[in-house]
Amino acid sequence: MTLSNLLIELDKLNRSEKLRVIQHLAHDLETEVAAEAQQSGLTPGGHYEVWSPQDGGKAVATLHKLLQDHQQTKDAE
Amino acid sequence: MPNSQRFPYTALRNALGEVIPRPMLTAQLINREQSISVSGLVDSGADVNVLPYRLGVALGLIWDDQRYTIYLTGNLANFEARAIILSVQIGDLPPIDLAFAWVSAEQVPLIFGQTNFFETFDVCFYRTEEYFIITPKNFTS
Repeated sequence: MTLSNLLIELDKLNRSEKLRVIQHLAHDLETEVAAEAQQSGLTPGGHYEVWSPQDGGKAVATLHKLLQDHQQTKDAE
Repeated sequence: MPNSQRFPYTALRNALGEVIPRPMLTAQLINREQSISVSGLVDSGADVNVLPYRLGVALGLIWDDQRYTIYLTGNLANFEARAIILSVQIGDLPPIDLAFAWVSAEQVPLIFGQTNFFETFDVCFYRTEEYFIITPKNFTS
């Protein structure tokens, strides 16, 4: 059955039956997505760590200040 | 290339069980009389060097003695950090001073990042051949 034909058939359903079709498809999609996520090792809403600190402008400035102070101390010794 | 040092990639297993080669650099971290040999990730995507808490303690660093507080981003934003300087010896190269964000967390990796590892060394990655080369900036030809 083509999608066009299927949509025509779905239009013939009453409200309760259409709701059941929606629930069936939603459950089907959820299962499919969960299976894909398990396969890839990722889960929806999961927390994944990326340790590389990026956009750390203030941290960079602080380390530069410390290095500068350290160099001045070494030069003075 | 004078004074360049070549290092192999290290095969590490990720959470999915896949083996992925990483540019792990073995270095001697030195604080006064104490030193330890460790392996850290050479990470051009990291803005700063990162030192996990346990390594700082092992080197005799005292948290409350550090004057500079560091505010990090991303996953590390949840942890306090202090700025510290260590002498670092890599291979046969002369020791150099590297500044680290010493993080109050155990699970973070040792990271060699832009400030100031990549400011001190030029790094060439040869990922397909699984090695990388570092050259101190004063010796770059």
